[in-house]
Amino acid sequence: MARQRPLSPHLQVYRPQLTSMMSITHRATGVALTTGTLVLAAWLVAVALGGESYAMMAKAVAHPLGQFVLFGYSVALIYHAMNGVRHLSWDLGFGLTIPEVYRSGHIVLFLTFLLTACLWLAILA
Amino acid sequence: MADHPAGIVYRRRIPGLGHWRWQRYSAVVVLLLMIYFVITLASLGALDHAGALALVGHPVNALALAGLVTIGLWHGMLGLQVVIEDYISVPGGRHVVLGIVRVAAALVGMASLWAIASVAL
Repeated sequence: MARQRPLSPHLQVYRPQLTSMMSITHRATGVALTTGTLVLAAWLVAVALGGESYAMMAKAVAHPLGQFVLFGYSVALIYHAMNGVRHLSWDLGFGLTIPEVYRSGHIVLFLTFLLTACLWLAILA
Repeated sequence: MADHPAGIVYRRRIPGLGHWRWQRYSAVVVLLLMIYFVITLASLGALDHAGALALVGHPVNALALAGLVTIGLWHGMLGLQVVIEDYISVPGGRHVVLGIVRVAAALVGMASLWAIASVAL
C-alpha cells in the first residue's frame, strides 16, 4: 500500500501556463538529448571503424528521416541550452519575479526559433 | 532550511546539495563544449571520412569530444535521476531503472572514448 501523501494538483483540471509547459519541455528535451548521445557515439564509432561504416552512417544521416532526427536534436539542444541559462540565472538569484520569469520565457522561445533558423541556414547554405 | 543555512560549513550536511551543484557545474561545461562543436560542425558542412578523421584526430578536438561525451552523459545521468525519482514510484523500481540507465550510459561513454582514442592516438 502506498502511503497517503499530499497530491499535486490534478493535471486534467490545471490550465497549462507558459511556465509549467516550459518546465516539462526542459525535462523532455533533457531526456531526448541524453538518449541522442547514442547518435553521437554511433557517429564516433563509425569514424573509428573505417570508410565503409562511415559511408553507412553518412547515408543514414543524409536520409530524410536522419535529417529529421538531426533537426529535432538541434531544436532540443538549443532550447535546453537557452532555458538552461535561464535556470542558471534563477539559481544565481536573478529574474525570479513573475513578470521577469514570463519575459525570460518568451526570450528563450524566441532565441530557440532564431538560433535554430540561423544554424540550419548556415548548414544548408 | 533554517537548520541548515547554505554555507561552506554546512555544505556537506545537506543531502542532495552535491547533486544540485554538480548538475549546474556540468551544465556550464557542456554548454561551452556544445557551442564549440556546433559552430565547428556548422562551419565545416558535410564531412567525408577523411574530414571526420581530421576533425576527431585533432588533439584539441579529441580532448574536447572526450570531455563532451563524459561530462554530457554525467549531466544527463544527474538529470535522468531526478526524472526517474519523480515518475517511478514502485518500491525499488527506481533503483533498477536508474541502474540500467547508468550501465547503458557507461557503455555509450566507453564506446565513444574508445572511438576517439583509436582515431586520435
